[in-house]
Amino acid sequence: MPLTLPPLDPNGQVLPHDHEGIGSDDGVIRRISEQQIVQDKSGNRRISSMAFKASGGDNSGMSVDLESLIVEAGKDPRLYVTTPRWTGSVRFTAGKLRAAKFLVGYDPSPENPCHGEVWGAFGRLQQRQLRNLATWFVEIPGVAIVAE
Amino acid sequence: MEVWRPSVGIERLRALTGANVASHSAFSSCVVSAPVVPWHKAVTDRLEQLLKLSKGWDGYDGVAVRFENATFAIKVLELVFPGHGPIPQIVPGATGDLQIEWHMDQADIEIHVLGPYRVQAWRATAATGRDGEEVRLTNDFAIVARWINEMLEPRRAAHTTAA
Repeated sequence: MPLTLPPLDPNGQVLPHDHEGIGSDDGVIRRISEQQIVQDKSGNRRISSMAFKASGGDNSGMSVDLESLIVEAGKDPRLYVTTPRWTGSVRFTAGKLRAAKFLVGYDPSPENPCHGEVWGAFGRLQQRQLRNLATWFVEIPGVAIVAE
Repeated sequence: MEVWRPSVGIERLRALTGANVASHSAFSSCVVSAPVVPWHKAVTDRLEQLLKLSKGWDGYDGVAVRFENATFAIKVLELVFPGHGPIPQIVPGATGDLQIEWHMDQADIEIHVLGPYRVQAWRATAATGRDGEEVRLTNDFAIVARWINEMLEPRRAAHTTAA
């Protein structure tokens, strides 16, 4: 079912919100670039904390793709999140994000009509929670989500 | 290391003095050069890559690291990071920001440059626990210099012992 349009501020920017149309079991996909991979103290590769932070813009949240919208559009989610450029990605479920005090919202753009945002506090504790909640969706070989 | 290069060469010196000057320690040639810091080239090479990231590099609307953030990061490193030590890793943010990271046995340190004079610095050690301690900084990075010094201290001690 299509999602209702999100609330906007006077500048037309999407306001942080928790969208009731995004179900608890719905997948929330976060793309991970090779640029966001670092080495830990043992030389093993893992995702940098930068991948689990909000962007710095207005009403800033963490960009995601809403899996249910991709499926409803008749597209393959793994193909969708690796197009037009290949990146890895991790997956959460909306309900578990909400249980960790995040808001999961809808923020479509002309380039990405399945785009969503995760809003909340992105302190160390929350970043660790995000890592623990994430599973590889499109795996970057040899890269761990959680630090050893 | 900056060294003065004299304008008179050996041939001119011979002409001036009439001496058979082959060489003169006072006129050993040295070249004025930029400060030689082991990490400088690796860091500037990495920042140059990040300045050229294409729009959407992160699969969303990510933009290249902003030039003012890259230059500010270099200035901060020159202040807080002594010449010798592990080269930091640098990760871009989505809005032109960047993060400088070290992950060592003694500590994890991350310096998030959101903009010039807008920095969030974080470190975790055995003493702080894994969630660590975080500070917001503008122009005084003494605490970061101390963190880095403490991170490198065991390595320096090991080198001294080995010597």
